[in-house]
Amino acid sequence: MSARRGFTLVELAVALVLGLMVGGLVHRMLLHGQRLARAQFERMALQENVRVAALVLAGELGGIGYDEITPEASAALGYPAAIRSDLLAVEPGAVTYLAGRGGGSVCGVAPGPTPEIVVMERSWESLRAPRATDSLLVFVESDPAIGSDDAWIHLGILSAGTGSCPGGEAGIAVRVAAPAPLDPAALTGVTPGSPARLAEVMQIRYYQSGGKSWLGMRSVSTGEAVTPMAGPLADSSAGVRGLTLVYRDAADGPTSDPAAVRAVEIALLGVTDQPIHGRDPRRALVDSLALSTRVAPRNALRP
Amino acid sequence: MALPLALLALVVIAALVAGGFAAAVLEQRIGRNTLYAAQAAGAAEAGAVAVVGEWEGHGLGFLAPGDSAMLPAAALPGRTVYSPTVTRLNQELFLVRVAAVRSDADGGALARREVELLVRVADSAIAGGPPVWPLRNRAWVVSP
Repeated sequence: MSARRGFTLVELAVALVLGLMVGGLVHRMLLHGQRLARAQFERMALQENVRVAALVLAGELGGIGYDEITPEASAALGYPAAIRSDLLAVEPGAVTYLAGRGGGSVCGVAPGPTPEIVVMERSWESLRAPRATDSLLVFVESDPAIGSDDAWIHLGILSAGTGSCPGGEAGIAVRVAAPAPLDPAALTGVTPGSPARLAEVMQIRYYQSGGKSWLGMRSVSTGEAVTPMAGPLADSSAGVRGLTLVYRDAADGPTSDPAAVRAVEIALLGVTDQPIHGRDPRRALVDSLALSTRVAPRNALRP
Repeated sequence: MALPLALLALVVIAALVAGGFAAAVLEQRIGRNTLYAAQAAGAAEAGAVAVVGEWEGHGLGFLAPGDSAMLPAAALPGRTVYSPTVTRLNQELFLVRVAAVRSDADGGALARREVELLVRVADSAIAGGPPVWPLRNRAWVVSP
């Protein structure tokens, strides 16, 4: 029996190599797990971003309408006949439009050079109060016996506050400026109960900030700066657009005329915020997700 | 040494599987909820159109300005139910408000959507025509 105790050099070397191999395997497994977890998080955020962008665009553009001043309405109101779309400017990466912000029913109109329109407070459905930068769209029914002379008139809001209806019910008083050449006296013909809608000019656009591309929104009415809604989206500098809007006319052909738009195709291409290890475990790459949808505004002209 | 390593490896693998499973379940739920919301919105719009189509049957022309009538709820295939309310705004205009719910098998609400439609009394000059029609423009009201 040998008097020596402990390990031989060979045993220690073998143990060291085996230990290193096991340690390396564990490290690799942990690293792979961490990368996989991060990739999952990035992909979830990517899907969420693209989904939010599509929902916001569809929701905002779905409410787009138009106003028609028919020849009969023109004759009754002394206002030029016209068809005006809520779409104010259409580009592949941006859209400017008149967005609805709720409304209510008119209960009274105080005449004057700047008439005061009172809306029943209990009928008011809006996430916010009217602002001086908003528009008020009021339904004017000239001759109750015929519908062809009905019209929605756009009025610029000068001020808004509390008021009261003729019966004493609580109301929201909105002082407005009539658009030229409309005689403000024509607004006294607004029938009590007629709908009034609050609207503001909004813009949704694809823009770059901090080296990345985003989908942003801003109120043109208030002149605010664009704020990001969703992103990052694919970069236009690489020849790939993160947002492409295609406007379709009644014949489903592409158009750049806002008044001719009957549907909008939305193509979104989102990218992950950070490169992730996907199919290629050796290289981290920016992953992308494409989503397309089509919106046909319900209040648009038909066909 | 081997046992702790094996346990660690098992924990890591379990965490990865659980993470992937949670992500997949979340995506599936989002997708299903989107479908339920679309079904509820479709039912609400169908309800609005049905109310206008059955206007005379409900006797809505006799409503006084400012008054509202709650019409009976109607069930549609696919566990959706719509409930219409019609408010007379003035002599010529009505607001049709329809709330629709997509329910599960136990009657629990899965999604709820509401639409509003402005309709106008039809011109009396058109004989035999419908009693009301949606406004020519801005008929559909987008709820905030």
